[in-house]
Amino acid sequence: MNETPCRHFEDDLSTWMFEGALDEKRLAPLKGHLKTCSSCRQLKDDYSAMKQGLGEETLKAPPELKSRVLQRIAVGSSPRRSWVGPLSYAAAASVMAVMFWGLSTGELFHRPQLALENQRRLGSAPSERHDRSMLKKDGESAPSKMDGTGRKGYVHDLDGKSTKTSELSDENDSQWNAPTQALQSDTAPGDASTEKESGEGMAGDPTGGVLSGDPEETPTLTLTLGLKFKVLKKDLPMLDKALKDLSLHRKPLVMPTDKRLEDIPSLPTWIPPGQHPPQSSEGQADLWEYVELVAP
Amino acid sequence: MGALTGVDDEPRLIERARGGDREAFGMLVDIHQDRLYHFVRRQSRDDDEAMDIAQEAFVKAWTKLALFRADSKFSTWLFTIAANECRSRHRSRKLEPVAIDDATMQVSDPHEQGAQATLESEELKASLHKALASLDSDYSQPLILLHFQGESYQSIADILSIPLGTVKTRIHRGHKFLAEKLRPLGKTETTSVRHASKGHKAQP
Repeated sequence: MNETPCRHFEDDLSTWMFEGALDEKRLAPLKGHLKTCSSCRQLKDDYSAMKQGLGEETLKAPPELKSRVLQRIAVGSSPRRSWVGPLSYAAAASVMAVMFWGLSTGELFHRPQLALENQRRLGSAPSERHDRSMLKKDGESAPSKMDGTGRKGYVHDLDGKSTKTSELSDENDSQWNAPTQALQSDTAPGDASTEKESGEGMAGDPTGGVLSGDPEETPTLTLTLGLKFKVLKKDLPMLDKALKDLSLHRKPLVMPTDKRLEDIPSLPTWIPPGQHPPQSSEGQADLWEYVELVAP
Repeated sequence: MGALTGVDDEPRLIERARGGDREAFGMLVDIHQDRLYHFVRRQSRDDDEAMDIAQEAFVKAWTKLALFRADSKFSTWLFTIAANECRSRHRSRKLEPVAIDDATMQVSDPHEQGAQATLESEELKASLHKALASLDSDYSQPLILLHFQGESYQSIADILSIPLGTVKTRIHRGHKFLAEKLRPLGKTETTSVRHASKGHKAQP
């Protein structure tokens, strides 16, 4: 909108007409101006008419709004912990650094599972999700992975395995995706033997493919409140026993209406301690139970 | 689950929701959904778009609840999210103009004076709403918050994260933009003539 010579009076007119009051020192000049300016008189008439149409009873939200919101948050991530705030700059810098490295070398696209394999070799692959799940509320310190305060089973994640998985990794789908462990790489890319090993391990069934290797080297999944994961139905008795010790209950995980089980290949898997990860033949959906841990 | 709670219980509900209590968040939705829906509906082309935006605003509030500071008003924070969502939608559709002149402009039986006045009032409201929806969100949002939500200038500044002076400027400019959009439709002229014929004085 172009500036007009009357702008000052137009602003005062707006205040006068819609707020119902104007300082006398400004009202008198405005009234004087209105006697001589037809354009502002027209605007005043416009405002008089507009006032009749402005203001109304609050519209009622459609009844389905709440149900849709609740449906979406039932399958979405929980409120994010504020502890990520102070770390966000450092985390963002780290991610950008790795992204820069990945983009410049192409490693980010070709071998996303490399770091996972390397960490498996080291006997430790704490995922971001895993770490988050270990955090307690209200600043209570998180249980140590190895101190026995949390029940553990073996877990394997297939994050970064395919483009399809990446596409699911938006804000609202984060819970369905395993952490980006490629970002945790502490090994230089290009290790041919590691690449070969990981390539074999990651070539399995995208709906529940497995990593080969000694389960003793497999990362573990700590059972904590709110954790969402899948477990083979045959392992449910052992899971229930573990949950009983932890005073936790499980409930069926509600699936998003727009997703199928096979769309979420990277949901963590709980494997009873001492057992090997399931074989690829066990990747069929009807063999799995998808659960969320809740308080009793 | 307790009875439906009011704003007095809001801090407790927020704390419960922060801990992942979806039921508590549902109660927060109960408290704020009408005003929030009204806010986004006045900036939307239709009910479906308003529903999408309102839904997205609540879901984002849920996922970002940990970032909410307890020393500020939850409604202010929620409306900020909704305002941002509306701006984002407007940008994505390149501010497609909303047709103001439509079937609602048709006038029925002129002998029914009472009905005619009501119709004119309804037509005016409909035209205003469409004119509002066609404005740049920089101007429509302060106007909606002021006239339809009853927010103070300071509250509008908080919600939109802009200085108080900018709020006033945008409201004044917004009023003028609205008048200029409605004038060609004869809406304001009709009333002006009616007022003049009744000998109305120049009072706000």
